[in-house]
Amino acid sequence: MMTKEKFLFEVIDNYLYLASLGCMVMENYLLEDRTPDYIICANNLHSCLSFYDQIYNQLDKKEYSEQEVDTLLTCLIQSLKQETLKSINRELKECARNYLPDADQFFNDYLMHDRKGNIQELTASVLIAFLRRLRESETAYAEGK
Amino acid sequence: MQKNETMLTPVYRYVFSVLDESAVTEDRIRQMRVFKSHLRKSACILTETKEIESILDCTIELLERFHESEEIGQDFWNNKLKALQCDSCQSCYHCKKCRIYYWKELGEVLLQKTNDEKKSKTYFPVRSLPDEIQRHLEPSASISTLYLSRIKRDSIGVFRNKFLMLKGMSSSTPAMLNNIFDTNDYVGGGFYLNWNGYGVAIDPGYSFVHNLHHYGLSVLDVQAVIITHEHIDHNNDMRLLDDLHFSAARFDEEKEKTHIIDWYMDEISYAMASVLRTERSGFKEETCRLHRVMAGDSAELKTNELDVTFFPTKHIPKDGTYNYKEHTFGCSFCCKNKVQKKIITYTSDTKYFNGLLEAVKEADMVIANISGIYEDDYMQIKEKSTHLGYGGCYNLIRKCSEKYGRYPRFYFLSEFWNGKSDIRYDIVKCLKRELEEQGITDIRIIPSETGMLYDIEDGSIQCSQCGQYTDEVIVKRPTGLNEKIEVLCRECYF
Repeated sequence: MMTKEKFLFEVIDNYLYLASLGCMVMENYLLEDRTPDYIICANNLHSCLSFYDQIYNQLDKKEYSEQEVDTLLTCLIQSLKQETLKSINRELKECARNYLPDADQFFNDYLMHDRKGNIQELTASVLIAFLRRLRESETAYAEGK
Repeated sequence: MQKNETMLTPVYRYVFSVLDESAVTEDRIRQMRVFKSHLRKSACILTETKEIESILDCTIELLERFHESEEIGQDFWNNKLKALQCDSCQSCYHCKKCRIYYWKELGEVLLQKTNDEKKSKTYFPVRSLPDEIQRHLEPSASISTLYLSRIKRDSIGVFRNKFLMLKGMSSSTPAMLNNIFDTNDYVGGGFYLNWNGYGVAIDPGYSFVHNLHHYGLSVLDVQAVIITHEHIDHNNDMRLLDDLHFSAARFDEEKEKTHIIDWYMDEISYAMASVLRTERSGFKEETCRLHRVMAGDSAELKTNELDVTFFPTKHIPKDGTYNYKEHTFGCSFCCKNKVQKKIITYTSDTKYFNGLLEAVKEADMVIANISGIYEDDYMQIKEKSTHLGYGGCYNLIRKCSEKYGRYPRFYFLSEFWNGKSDIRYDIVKCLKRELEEQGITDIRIIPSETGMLYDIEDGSIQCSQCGQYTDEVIVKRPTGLNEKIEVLCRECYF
């Protein structure tokens, strides 16, 4: 059964970490303030914890089973994570479309997949390596290569 | 939480946990319906519940059909699978085919198509790692991360413009001694020179890497490695050094990829490294540059700041002759800055010969590998044929001071052969006394020990106790066989 501490850890590890990373990346990339996004993160955290309390009340009343509770909580974390991933992906792609003729392919090759073509997890190092490559493409475009 | 999980994964897992408990009954179907209603209640916070609901709807429908008749269930499953295979799922980031995986696995469970081979196959959306494996895979910091963070610390300041002894009493016998006394206290090693941030590892023998780490340095502090000949006490750790360096480059996404080590090697060590490179088992091109060195060669290690010249040595006799193999060498480092130039010479393993004087005469500091001392050698009846020995060291120092106006004032004697006991202190004392009797009193001779630091710029030595650098050090006699030699400043000694 997922304890509140474990749930909090997973929310931070899977969602808040990624969302903050995305905000920082976009702040650096676009040189614009992302405070509203951070506020959304804080609100989501609050909602998550409220949801946890609410769902555990149902468990106490035996309306939900433990398995159901765990499933719903995990679903929640994963849905937040996927939303964030898609959001980062979408925003970066919009920027890249300005100079990359085939941005979709570029993102598919370098962000979604590793060098061997396997689907890769979006971690800080993956994102940094991808941004470096993106910057190189940007420079190459600017220099007319 | 499992890597590469999607929003649908926990739902799949839940469905299978329900189905695992018993056969498809009305109770099970009801349980799924209840779950779906709970999921709907959570729609206020869960995004994209429609996708999950649609999956659950299909699952419930399959269960109902299956409960009705296995054949009807089979038909429904087949038709749905065909439809899914034409459809591209857009709901998850990672895997566009996760719904197909789910459906196939669901069918295999329900229609009893599972066999041993299928059971062992991993469909990632519905499998989770056992806890006992999971806990090993998800520590907050992996060993490689810890290693990288450790070796990246800024320790080089302490060793800037210093020469560090990383060789113990003997480089050739620690394996035997450690075995005899069941310990790891006996170490071999090599030397480390740093000039303006450029680090050179010299003759990385037994325990070199261990000693390097012990004194706070790492492979990333090494820009060049010099191997003077192929004997194991001079190149034993070259593979370990290369492997760690490659690991540092492999695990780090950042600058370590650009850290390259230049290897200056004798012919045989070069051949060994080349074979490993050809077989793709080490010394990869992306992390090392291999240079085959012959006596007489020179190299600029750091532009306008650090050069090295390689001079011939006489160490390995050719079979059946009095000649020596020509691939072995010693080296002289020329450390330069705007105001001064300092020369450090390392004789490596060699017998004494007159040509050696030319190599050491300009040096400010000499590291001489003395090796074992025998009675005939000490009595200067018979000179050693492969190492300097006592007689070789005596001749080197005396003849150099007699012949040249400028001669080295500082000698470290290294690579004693401690076959019987720790002779270092006594032999250096005798050598010094004998040279003083010849009128050579302005020379300092110190037995080398791991951790001794020589300041290349001002020629001082670090006191083993207080850590201050001083010109006047006193060598303290070790009291036990395994005790380290200490050099102390006057304050610490008295």
